Amino acid sequence: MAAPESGDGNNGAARMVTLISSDNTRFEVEAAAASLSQTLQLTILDGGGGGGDGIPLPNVDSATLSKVLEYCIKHAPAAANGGAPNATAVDRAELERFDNEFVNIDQSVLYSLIMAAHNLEIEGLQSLVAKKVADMIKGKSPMEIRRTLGFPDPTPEEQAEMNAHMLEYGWAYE
Amino acid sequence: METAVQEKSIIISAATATTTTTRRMSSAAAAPWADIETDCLVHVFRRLDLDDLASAAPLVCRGWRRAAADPSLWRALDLRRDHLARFMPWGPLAAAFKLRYGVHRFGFAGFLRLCVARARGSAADVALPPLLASPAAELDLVSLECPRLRRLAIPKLPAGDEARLPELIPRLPLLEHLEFESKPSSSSSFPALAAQLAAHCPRFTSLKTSGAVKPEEPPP
Repeated sequence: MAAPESGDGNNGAARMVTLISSDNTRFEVEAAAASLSQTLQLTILDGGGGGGDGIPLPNVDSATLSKVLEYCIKHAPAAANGGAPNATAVDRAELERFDNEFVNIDQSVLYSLIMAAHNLEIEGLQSLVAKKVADMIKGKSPMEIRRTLGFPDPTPEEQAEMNAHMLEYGWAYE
Repeated sequence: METAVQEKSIIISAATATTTTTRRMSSAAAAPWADIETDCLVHVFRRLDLDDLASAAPLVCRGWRRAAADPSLWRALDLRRDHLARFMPWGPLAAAFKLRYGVHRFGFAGFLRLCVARARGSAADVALPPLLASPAAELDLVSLECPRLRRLAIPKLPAGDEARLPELIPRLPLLEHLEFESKPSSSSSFPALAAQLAAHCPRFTSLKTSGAVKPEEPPP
């Protein structure tokens, strides 16, 4: 097996890896971007994902993976700088603008993203989506939360369970 | 008051009825957010405040109830921030507890008991608000139920309760930081407190007095 380049992008030819979504779409992406995923980083350090064989991701469909990679590509340069102590205020403002826009999406896409970020262990993306979802539910009633996140109406069983749970709280106030 | 609450719950069920049109993928696809892994949901819940975590999240569905009960979410109990707005009997939190849990006498003491119970002994950081209804009982609860406490912020206490502080210290062997909202007033109990901290809290590093420091009042 070929020794992996120490991919600092020294002469412009950054190392590429191939990721394969659950629905068999192949994505070719810079190793530095894919390495934002702790899970993938290990495989990539071992020299995997290059050439003809890609890294299969059976839990991530192509729509979600392209969104995940959009995030990784945007964040890879800053991550390579180790939290970017020398990043300019402009760079940081631009990343923040990107992040805000990036999560301005339907709750079902947020759900796919948070699951993918969890499985691939992409910490920044997981926090970003978690924060967005938290902001969506803050200060809302349980029914408003259910509606916001597309829950079906509670079944009679669920309703009964909720009522039972209501009573559980009484003790703290006796 | 009672009828107002009734009306509110009727409004909520009416609003629920209007959402049935969005239910197209109910049983087959169900709601993914209901079946989401607990770990994942805990990440979201870490960004909610205690009020939402106590009064809304557990009632969404069974999975959310399990995640909201995760003790790690109840380690830092800042009950001092915005305490006036949060714990007033006519505030939104009291209204939510009344409507959703049937709690008619919402107050700080009950909320504290709830938080401490959820933490299951893991609370590490507790800040108590001023004007506690029964400071002795509340300090007793915290010292007994929070054996892993590292930081404690306490309000101005009546002299009698302040004098009892030294005897609570041995229950808090991990204490590192103690913060008084005002300078301890009874000069006699302070040396005893310092001695107890030295004897029982090997990691103790800082004692702080926050808030306005007033000049000594002249003796009457």
